[in-house]
Amino acid sequence: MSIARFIAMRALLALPTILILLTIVFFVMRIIPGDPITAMVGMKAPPQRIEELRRMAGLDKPIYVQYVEYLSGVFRGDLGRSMIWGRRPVITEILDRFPATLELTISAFIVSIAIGFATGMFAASRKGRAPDTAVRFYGILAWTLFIPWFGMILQLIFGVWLRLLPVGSRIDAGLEPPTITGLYVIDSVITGRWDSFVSAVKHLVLPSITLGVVLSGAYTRLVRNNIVDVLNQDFMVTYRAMGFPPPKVLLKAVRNALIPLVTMMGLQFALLLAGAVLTETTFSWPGMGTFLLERIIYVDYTCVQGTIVFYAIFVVAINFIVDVIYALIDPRVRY
Amino acid sequence: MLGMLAVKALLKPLSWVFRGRYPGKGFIVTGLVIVIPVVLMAVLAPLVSPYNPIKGGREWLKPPCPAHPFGTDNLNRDVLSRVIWGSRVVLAVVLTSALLSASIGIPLGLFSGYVGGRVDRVVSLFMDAMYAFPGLILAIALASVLGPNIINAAIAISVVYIPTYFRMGRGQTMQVKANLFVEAAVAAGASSWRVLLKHVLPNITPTLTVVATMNMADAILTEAGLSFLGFVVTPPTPDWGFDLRAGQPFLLSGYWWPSLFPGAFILLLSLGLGLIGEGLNEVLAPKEYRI
Repeated sequence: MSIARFIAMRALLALPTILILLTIVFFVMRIIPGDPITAMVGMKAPPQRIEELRRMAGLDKPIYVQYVEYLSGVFRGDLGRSMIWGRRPVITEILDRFPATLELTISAFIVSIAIGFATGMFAASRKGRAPDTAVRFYGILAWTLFIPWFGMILQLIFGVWLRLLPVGSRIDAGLEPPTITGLYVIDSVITGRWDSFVSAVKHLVLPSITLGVVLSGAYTRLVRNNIVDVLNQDFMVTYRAMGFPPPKVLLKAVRNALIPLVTMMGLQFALLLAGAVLTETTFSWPGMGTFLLERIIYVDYTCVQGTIVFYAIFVVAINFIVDVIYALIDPRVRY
Repeated sequence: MLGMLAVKALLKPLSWVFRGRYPGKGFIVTGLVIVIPVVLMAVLAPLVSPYNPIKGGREWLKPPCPAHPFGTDNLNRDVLSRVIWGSRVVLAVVLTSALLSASIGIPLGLFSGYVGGRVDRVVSLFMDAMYAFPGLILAIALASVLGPNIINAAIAISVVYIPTYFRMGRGQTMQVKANLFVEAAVAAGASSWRVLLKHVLPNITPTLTVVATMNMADAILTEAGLSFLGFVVTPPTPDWGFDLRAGQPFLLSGYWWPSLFPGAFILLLSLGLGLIGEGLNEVLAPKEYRI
C-alpha cells in the first residue's frame, strides 16, 4: 500500500472514532439526571434566568434536534456562540487560547522525551544493577507525582526562594510578540524580539518541567525495557561479538527501540492534555484548561461543551498523525 | 475484584507477606508500609487527629512546631488534623469509584469478550474512544454538569475508568477462552454463565487485581486533580487536593506548609498503591498474562 493510500484509509477510520467521541460528549453534557444548567448555576438562581440560559444553550429544543444541529455544527467548524460577554463564537474563543496550550504541551513533551531517553538508556546500560533499580523507582515515582504539588514545589524553590523564575502567566506584560503562530517563543524569534523571547522562555521553564517530569516516567520505563529487549536479540549479540564498543552497540539498540515508542507517544498525548489542565491552573497559564474551568464557573455551557469537543478532535488528530509517522518509519504496518 | 483482593489480603496472614520469600516482595512491603498507616489514619481519624480540622485556634500560619507538626493554615487550623481527616474523603471517593467502574467495566468486558462478533466490535469501539479521551478532562466535564460534591466526583471518576476495566476484562477473557478447558466445559454442556463465572473469571482474577490496584493509584491522582480544581468538596471540608489549592497563594508568599503536606500525602498514597500494584504484577500474574 502506498503511503498516500494508507493516509487516506487511516483518515477514513478516524471518522467513526470522532463521531463516537462527539456523541459521548453530547450525552455526557446532557443526559444527566436533572439539568446541566441548574447543576452548574446551583439551585439559587431564579427560574427565569435558568430558562434563559437553557434557551441560549439550545437546551429547550427536542434532544434529536439538538443532536443534529450539534453534529452538523461541529463538522462545519461552528461550535455555537459563547453565552457571556458579547457572545463571541466559541471556536474563536478557543483558538485564542489554543496556542498557549500547544506551546506548553510541545515543550513539556520535549522535556519528557529527553528525560525518558537519558534515564532509560542509563538504566538499560546498567541492567540489574543499583542504577537500574533506582531508575525503575524513578519511573514509578514520576508517574505518581501530583502535578500541582510538584509545580508548587518548583514555584517555591525557583520563584519564591531563589527568585530566578516567574511563577505564573506566559510572558511579562507588554512584551507579547506580534501574533504569527501564536507560540510566543517562535513568534519572538521570527520578529527578532530578544526581550520577548527571554521572557517567554523564562515563563515556560517551570510549567514544562513540571508536566515533562511527570510524563517522563512512562518513557523511562519503555525506553529501558525496549533497549534491554533489543540488546538481547541475536543481531545485537553479533554486533558485540564483532567487537563494537558498548556505546556504539547501545546506540544501535536505541534506534531499534524507537519504533514502539512512537505508539506510546500517541497514548501519552491524552495524558499530556489532561496534565496540561492541572499545569495551567497551577501556573495561571492562559490556555484551554484554564479557559474551560473559567467558563464552567461562568456557566458558559456552549463554551464548556465546545472546549471538550475541541479536545476530542485534537486527540483524534494527534493519534492520526502518530499512526502516519509510524507507517513512515516502519513500512510493515502499511501492509 | 476488590473483594477478592481483600479476602486474599486477610486470609494470607500479613506476617507471611512481610517474612516470606516471593518475587516483587520489596515493592509490596514498601507499598504496604505506606498504605496501611494512611488507611489506619482515615479509619481512626477521630482518635488520632490532635485538633478540630474545621475550627481554627489562635495561631495564624504558624510554621511546623511541636504543638503543630505540620503548622497551621491561614484560618488558624491545624494542618496535620486536616491531612488526617482529608484522607477519609480521598479514600472514600477512590474506593467508591473503583467499585463502580469495576462492577460495570469487568462484566461488560467479560460479556463482550466471550460473546465476540458484532456486539463486541460496537462495544469495543465505544470503549476505545472513551479510553483515548483524556481522563481528567472527561471527569471535569461530568463533574461540571453533575455539580460539585463527593458522590458526583466518585461517579465522574468511575466513568473515566470503566474502559480500563473493560479492556482488561475483555482481553483476558479472549485469551482464556482460547484454552482447551473452556472448550471442554462448553462441550460438557455448561451454560455460558457457568463458563464465565466458574472457568473464565477465576483465571483472570489475578490480572484484574493488578489492574485494580494500579488503577486506584491513578484514581487517587484524578480525585486529587478534581479536588484541586474545586469539583469534590466545598469549604471547610478537608481534602488533600483542595487544601493544596487553598494554600497556593500563601505558598507564593513563602508559607509552604499548608500546601506541601497535603500534597505529599497524595504522592505517598498513590506511590504506595503503585508499588503494591507493581509487586502484585510480579507475584500474581502468570508470565504470559503479565502487563
